[in-house]
Amino acid sequence: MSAGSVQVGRVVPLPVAAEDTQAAERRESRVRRVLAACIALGFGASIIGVGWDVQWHAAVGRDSFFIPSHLMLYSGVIIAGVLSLALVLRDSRLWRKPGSGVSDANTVHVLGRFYGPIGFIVCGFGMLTLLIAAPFDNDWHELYGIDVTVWAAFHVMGILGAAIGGLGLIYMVASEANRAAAPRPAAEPRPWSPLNGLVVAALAFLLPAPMVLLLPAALQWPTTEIGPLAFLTYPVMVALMTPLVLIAAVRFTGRVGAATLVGLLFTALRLAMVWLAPALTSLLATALHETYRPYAPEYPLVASIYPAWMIVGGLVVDGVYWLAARRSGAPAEHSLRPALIGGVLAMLAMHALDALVVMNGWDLLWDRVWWRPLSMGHDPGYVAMALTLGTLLIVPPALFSAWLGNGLGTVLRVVRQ
Amino acid sequence: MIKRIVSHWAIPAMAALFWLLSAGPPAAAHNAFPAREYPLHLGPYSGRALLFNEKVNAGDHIQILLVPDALAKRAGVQFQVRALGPAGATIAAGLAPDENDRGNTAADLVIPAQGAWQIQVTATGRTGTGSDGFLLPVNPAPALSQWAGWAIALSPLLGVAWFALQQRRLLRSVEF
Repeated sequence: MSAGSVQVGRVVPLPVAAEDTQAAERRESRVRRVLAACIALGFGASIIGVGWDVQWHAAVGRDSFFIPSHLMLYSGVIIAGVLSLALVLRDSRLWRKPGSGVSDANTVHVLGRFYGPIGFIVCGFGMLTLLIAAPFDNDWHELYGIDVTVWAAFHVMGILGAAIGGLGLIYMVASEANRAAAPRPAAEPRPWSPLNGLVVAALAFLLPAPMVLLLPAALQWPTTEIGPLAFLTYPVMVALMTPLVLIAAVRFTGRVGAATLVGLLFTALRLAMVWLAPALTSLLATALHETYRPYAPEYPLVASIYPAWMIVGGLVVDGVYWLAARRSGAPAEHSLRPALIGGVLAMLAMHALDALVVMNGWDLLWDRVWWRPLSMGHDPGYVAMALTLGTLLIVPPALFSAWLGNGLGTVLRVVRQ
Repeated sequence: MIKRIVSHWAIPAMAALFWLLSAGPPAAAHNAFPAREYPLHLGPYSGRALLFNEKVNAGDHIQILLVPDALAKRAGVQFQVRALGPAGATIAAGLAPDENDRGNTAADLVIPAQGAWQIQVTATGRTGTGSDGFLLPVNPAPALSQWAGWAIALSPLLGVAWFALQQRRLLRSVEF
């Protein structure tokens, strides 16, 4: 409740009853949760839109900016961007009203006069980045043609924006989860409440957007050659992204099992994309009487480059944390050591399975050929060198990613704004 | 100890890794799907030239994959690729075995000026030599250069770096 009394031309706020403030804060939380849910749905549409878009580009072509997959992708972006902006503007106004439920306790201050939850600000920044990238990307395609590689400037900018937006969503849900619960000691496991589960889900769904960057690493430049040396590009890039979310999930929840849950959710999304991307492309190409290009892929392009063994990675990370806790006799979640060991071992396990299966051109889950086998067209010495160096080069990015994940998980435990 | 090593060396190590990834010459690599395909009749041999650029601008790297047929492969053909310009200019392409199939040859070519260029492919093998070619229209260089594009595209990383610093401060204030 807002109140004030006039005193020599100056408005002096009257003290607001604590129960009124609490009621207002609860109301504010409800608004944020509803908006976060809408933003999550927007992101879901965008993730499917990206998978569909990549498939459409490869199978049919990019005849204009207003192709259906773009419309799906950008409608999600606009929903997330507009809702984030609306909440920040609303909270900036309410912050000035005592007792409105918006205060320094649940907002951060940015750009001089704006106040808002950090998750919404980060998400808005990400969506703005993505929207700025869109016209540049369109221009880039007009300059360089429809087959511009994924590693083109404004594709990378758009993907960066999507990843920033995904991070914002994680912060939105984590701050709600933290404010809903009483502060707890660092090492104490959190309950499996819906909000805590949503943080884990948001972590799992952070990966699909940046992982689109893996497409050239799988299909165009499977090996990176430096002089006489060659190493596999794909596993090094996977190692840079994956431990981050697996470790952050365990670190945030303080529970063994969270990393496996991330693996399960990611795999569920992968399976959905396997079915959706070619089905939507085929459905719409038929409806619009579009013809397929000569080299149209028959397999789900984006899903084929999502790591097939994320569940195994999650199990390894959880196993390392479980062993660390058993050995020390105390919860080990707050230690960096299991994060680093778990991150590296998870990536090595996933790579070993990939090297045996996906890198040979097929995927056990689907029993079909997706990628061109590395062993075709290369002599065994080259393949052995690329595998060995690729395996060694997994370690630095896996350590880095695990370190970041440990930091992210720790911050997510305490963020309340 | 581990924490110190990782937190002090993580960012320089990642910078080195990115340098390593970008230092890998993409000359022998190409986009996933060819934009155009040209049949080649090279005297006693035949094959295909796959062009991976849908539009070619002056100054772009043009990626052409030369795929000899089985007979030409058995004859151990070696290719030469040249671009013949409208004003009599000649540019030789850099050649390397294809990264995905060593039996094919990847040609990397930069044409500096717009106009109608003729791409000439010459194959030499045990059973003789032959040439064929195709016409390649080259557009003028785009106003927004690749460098400017990347500078704009990566500018949001400044915001990410600022956010990461804020979170690092928050992390240090948390006593776990």
